[in-house]
Amino acid sequence: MREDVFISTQNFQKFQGLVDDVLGTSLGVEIAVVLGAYGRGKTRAAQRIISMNGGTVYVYYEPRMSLAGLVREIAFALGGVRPRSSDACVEVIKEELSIRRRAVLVDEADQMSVSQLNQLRAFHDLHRAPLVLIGEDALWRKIAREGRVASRVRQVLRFEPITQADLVVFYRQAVDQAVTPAQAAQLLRAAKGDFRSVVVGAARAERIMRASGIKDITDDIVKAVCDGR
Amino acid sequence: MAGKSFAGKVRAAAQKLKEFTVGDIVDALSPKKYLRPDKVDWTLRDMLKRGEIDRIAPGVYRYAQPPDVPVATRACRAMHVKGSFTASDIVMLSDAERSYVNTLIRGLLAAGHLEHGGVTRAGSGKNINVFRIVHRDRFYLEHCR
Repeated sequence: MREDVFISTQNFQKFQGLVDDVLGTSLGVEIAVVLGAYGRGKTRAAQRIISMNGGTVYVYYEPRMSLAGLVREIAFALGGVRPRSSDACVEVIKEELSIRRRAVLVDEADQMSVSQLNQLRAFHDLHRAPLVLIGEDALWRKIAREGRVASRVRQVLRFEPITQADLVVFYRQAVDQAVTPAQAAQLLRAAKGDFRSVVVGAARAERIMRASGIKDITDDIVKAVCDGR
Repeated sequence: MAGKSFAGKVRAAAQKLKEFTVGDIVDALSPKKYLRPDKVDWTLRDMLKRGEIDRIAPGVYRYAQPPDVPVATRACRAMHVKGSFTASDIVMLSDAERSYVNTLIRGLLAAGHLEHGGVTRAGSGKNINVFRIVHRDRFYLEHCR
């Protein structure tokens, strides 16, 4: 299986469109939210966007981070320095965003506390910082509780389960196999919309084919993959 | 309109429209519809194969902006964002050529920016080297900005 293939799924394309929109137009409402269950490919999509787009910076929120720690990480991502005092960090953020507009993608934002979300809101208000918060559905519940944050959200993107078209393209590009619509539907049901399960299933299918010397994927192999055998 | 070839004209129209259907391109190129839609359709298929456009819904396409970041920076940004990675991860995230990524990793290893982080087994059963960034902050400042 080719492991260097990136599938531009519909979710990824919408995510990219959202980042372009946030970067391209300044409306004063600059917060965007990306939601989705685990395994849908949010982080992978964010990593791809960060790699390809110089106008974005990435902050991975770790549960150990304090409010000051989060501010410091954003200062480093934007300015390349990590001053000890929060005031100095805020100055760096302000200065960097005034020089060049960049979108700050905050991953695992669902684990942030409400005070940390409010601090991001303050960055948004004071420095017109474009923010993209990425997390599971709990993130939206936290934001919705804080009306002041929710009212500043320009767009909410929900990562939908992987589509049949995405699965067919993945099998064609990564495993070099053309699955039939019926096989694709069966694999999709077994994966329950989770991209990671699709990748694991494709690796399993390839292993079965290699062990049995079969060149093309068959219904029996699909059944074995779906049964987890 | 930029580009003398038919493909160049379609590309210019696609860049202008951003999101479009075959019909939109036909309208943009030939308002009186003297143009055959299948000619545009074939050109769009070629552009789709080259990754110049994405299909966002059946019959609807979006022009994919070419990356504005040099390939070396893209690869290094991918390394930084992953922290611990294989060459395949970097090819996937940065669209860089495999040979280029291998050369880049060798150079960064020799310069002490990267270190071996062990070996992992690919789905195909092959052993694959895992690399790690030695000083993440320094790497970010020197290679990713």
